[in-house]
Amino acid sequence: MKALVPVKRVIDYNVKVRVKADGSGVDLANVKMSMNPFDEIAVEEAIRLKEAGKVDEIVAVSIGVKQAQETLRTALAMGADRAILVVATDDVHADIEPLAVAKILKAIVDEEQPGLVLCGKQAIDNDMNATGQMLSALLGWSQATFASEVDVEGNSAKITREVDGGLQTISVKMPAIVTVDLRLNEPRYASLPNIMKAKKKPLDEKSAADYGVDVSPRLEVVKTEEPAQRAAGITVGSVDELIEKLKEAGAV
Amino acid sequence: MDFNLSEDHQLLSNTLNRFLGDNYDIEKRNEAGFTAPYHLQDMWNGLAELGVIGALVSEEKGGFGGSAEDISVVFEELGRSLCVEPMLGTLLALRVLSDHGQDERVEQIISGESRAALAVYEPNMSCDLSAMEATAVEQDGVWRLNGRKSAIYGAPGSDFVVVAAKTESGTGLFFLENPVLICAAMVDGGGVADLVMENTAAECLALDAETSLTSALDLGRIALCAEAVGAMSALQDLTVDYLKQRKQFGTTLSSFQALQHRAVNMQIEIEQCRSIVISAVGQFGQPGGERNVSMAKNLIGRAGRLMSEESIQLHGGIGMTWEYPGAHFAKRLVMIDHQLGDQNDHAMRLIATGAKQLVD
Amino acid sequence: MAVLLLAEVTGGELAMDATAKAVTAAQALGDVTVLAAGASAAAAGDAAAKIAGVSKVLVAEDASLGHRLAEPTAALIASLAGDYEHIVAPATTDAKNILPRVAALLDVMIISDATAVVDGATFERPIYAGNAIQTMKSSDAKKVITFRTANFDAAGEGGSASVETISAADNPGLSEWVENKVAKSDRPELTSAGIVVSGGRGVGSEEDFALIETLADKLGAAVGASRAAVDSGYAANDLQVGQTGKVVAPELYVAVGISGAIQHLAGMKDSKVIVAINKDEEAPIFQVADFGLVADLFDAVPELTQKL
Repeated sequence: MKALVPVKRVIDYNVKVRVKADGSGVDLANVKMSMNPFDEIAVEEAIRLKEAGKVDEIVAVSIGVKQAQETLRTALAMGADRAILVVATDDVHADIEPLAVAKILKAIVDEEQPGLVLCGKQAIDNDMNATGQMLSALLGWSQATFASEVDVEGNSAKITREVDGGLQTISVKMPAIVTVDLRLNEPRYASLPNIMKAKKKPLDEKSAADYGVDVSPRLEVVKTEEPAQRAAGITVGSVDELIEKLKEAGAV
Repeated sequence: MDFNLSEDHQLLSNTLNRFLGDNYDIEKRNEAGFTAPYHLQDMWNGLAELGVIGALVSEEKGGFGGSAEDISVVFEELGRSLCVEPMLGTLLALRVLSDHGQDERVEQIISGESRAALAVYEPNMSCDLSAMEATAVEQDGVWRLNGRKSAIYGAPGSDFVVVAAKTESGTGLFFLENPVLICAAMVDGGGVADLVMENTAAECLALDAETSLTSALDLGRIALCAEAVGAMSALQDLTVDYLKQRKQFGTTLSSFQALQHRAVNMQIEIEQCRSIVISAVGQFGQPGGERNVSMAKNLIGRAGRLMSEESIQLHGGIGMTWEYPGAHFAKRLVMIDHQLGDQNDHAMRLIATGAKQLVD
Repeated sequence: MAVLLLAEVTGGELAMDATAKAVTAAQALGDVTVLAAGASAAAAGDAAAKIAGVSKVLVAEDASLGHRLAEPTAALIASLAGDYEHIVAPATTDAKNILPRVAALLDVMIISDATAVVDGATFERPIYAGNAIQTMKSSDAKKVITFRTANFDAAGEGGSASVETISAADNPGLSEWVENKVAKSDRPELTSAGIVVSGGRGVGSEEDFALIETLADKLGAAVGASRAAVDSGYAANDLQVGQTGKVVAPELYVAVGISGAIQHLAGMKDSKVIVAINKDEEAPIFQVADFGLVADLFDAVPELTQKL
């Protein structure tokens, strides 16, 4: 079975985000970019399925700017077999919406015919939490979101999902879309020998037009602002004073 | 010229940054750095698994890199995390071993199976190898070493030491298994050792290895300079964060222009240092490349001291405390100046090589 | 303009708090029709009919609609979509599972985790883990939105909407429920509790996390945890408060031994009153706290529990 893993290039999760002064968005110029952490977990899971003999080829896909090639190299260095880069914009500040991404991915799925698509549950930039579900709808495939355990057995997969109030286990028919949550696994580091091997793995470059998908946004960004700051509070000297203040505030 | 890292180097740097960031916080580092064997075996195994030790040796000699640029990428990240793992000693030993056909031993070191250090320096000797006093003499088919070695970086806990000693043909290299060492932690953490040799039997690797030794030491100096750049930028980040947070007279320190100027000066120093490391890396192995190394080591020695003093000044008292990471970065930067020749030694080396060029 | 609101139904019961908060958000958009879907949903539909501001309730009961499976519920909503301009839900894991699927079936974008309604097409939502707030205007004919409940007050009771029963759409039969592992607890549910007491890495161990639980029980509060505490194994996964966990906005939030990473702040900074107890006075949590106590939690928490 072939596994397809879409990965997104996003601002590194350790970088402090700065809103641009003109309110047009978040400043991404000269900022360290990395693979979306949830997508890294998806790549890791695909590799583990391959190591367990349940997947025989892993194809990583990224859709966005040309620089996303580096993100794909990371996926290849971790253990993906080949990569497809779909250049959909030249502007590093442009975010391709999940709907357009899902349409491009659908076209790629039609071509590649994978048995499983593993993706991150959300990207840490737009926090939309939608691509996997949308792709699943467009393909008419089964979907299992927020996975914390993935168990593929022949024509079905048992997925444990993190839902409000606990965990839910469902069984989905293959082919399926699985979106992964934080605790599914700990992604491996790309070792230097594997980084060198990754250089020789194939990376195809395509454009959104190759798939006939219009990527123009449905949502227009009106403005982007810093969140409202909370007013500074006070420091209390003792537990007694804390209780007194809480009573005054009517909180207890 | 494109000064950005290549894709591979970017990936290598990310891997190391993540690995060290996830597994190596300052408390863990401080505990390891000052307790024998002055490093953490599981971290060392982790670095070996990631192929980072292999990055110090070229592919044809069994490694995964080995260029001056590979080494500077690795050490800059080590500096950023203030890593006390014995990479410098391993780099020096690996380079001379791989220069002398010791493929099996190189392979063992790269895989993390064994660890080695290089004994060159002596109490009365600095950069100038001709001042070396330790000797090696062959008696009845056995090489015997005499003399004292100091500042053997990363030697505590290592499986063997490669010793440089004078032979009749020049500066030879000798292989010493299970050496008896006098071990200590450096003032900034990490292991170092002295070695006293009295008719100590050793295996001869080379009778005259001066070129190989000089090249290994110069790469070690580039490594130290890159490590310093990493440590400086981490220290700068800490300092700027502190200035933005700490309030005095009802406002943050960062709002005072005099302090902004000092922070900018620190940033300029870092950029200078980064540039000179790039130049030393680019010229390594070229004729006269050793001059770029000495220029870098000299500038970084001075800038490192300045950075550590400025950061302590800008922090105030907390900048000196054991609990605050900044203090350890400051110590490391001062120590780097003293390793493999300090700013004065390298100024002298520049004068000497400059004079030689004039004569030639 | 009509709004279709997917009620949060769990095990046949209406999650009143989440649904009522989403009703408040939806009222700003037009006439609210609530859809209660589930294996059994009639009781939930009746409960939803009593929420003030709901004009109509649709009840769809079918075995295929149970157990939060996305495909049948999304198909049902898509089949109803013709009559509505807005399709909305509270931003629970169930709705986040279903609504993006609905949006794609309708060929429109989803707007997740909206925190404010500007007008019928314009919404605010947090991006970058709450480090920025983006105002987005949709050009789609239909808008599919999940609302972050922490940002809206619950609509009151007193409504008397008509209830209509509808049938489910065809079940595509793609997935099946196997089992639930629900954390059993007598404490209030984390996302709707009036008071939350959370512990962080500073608590130090799973055993000492009992300190947090004792204080929570004294206050009648839900228990939360920072990601550091969850990763260290002191607390269960589903207690995690933060961008990648639960987003809460109780009347009172007590953060114990939590340094206040941005990740965590994004999940609790809309709380009405925030108390921080931490021995590190430089901890960022104090910057958002209304009342900060610099103290060793092992002294302060038992004292607080005893004196309350």
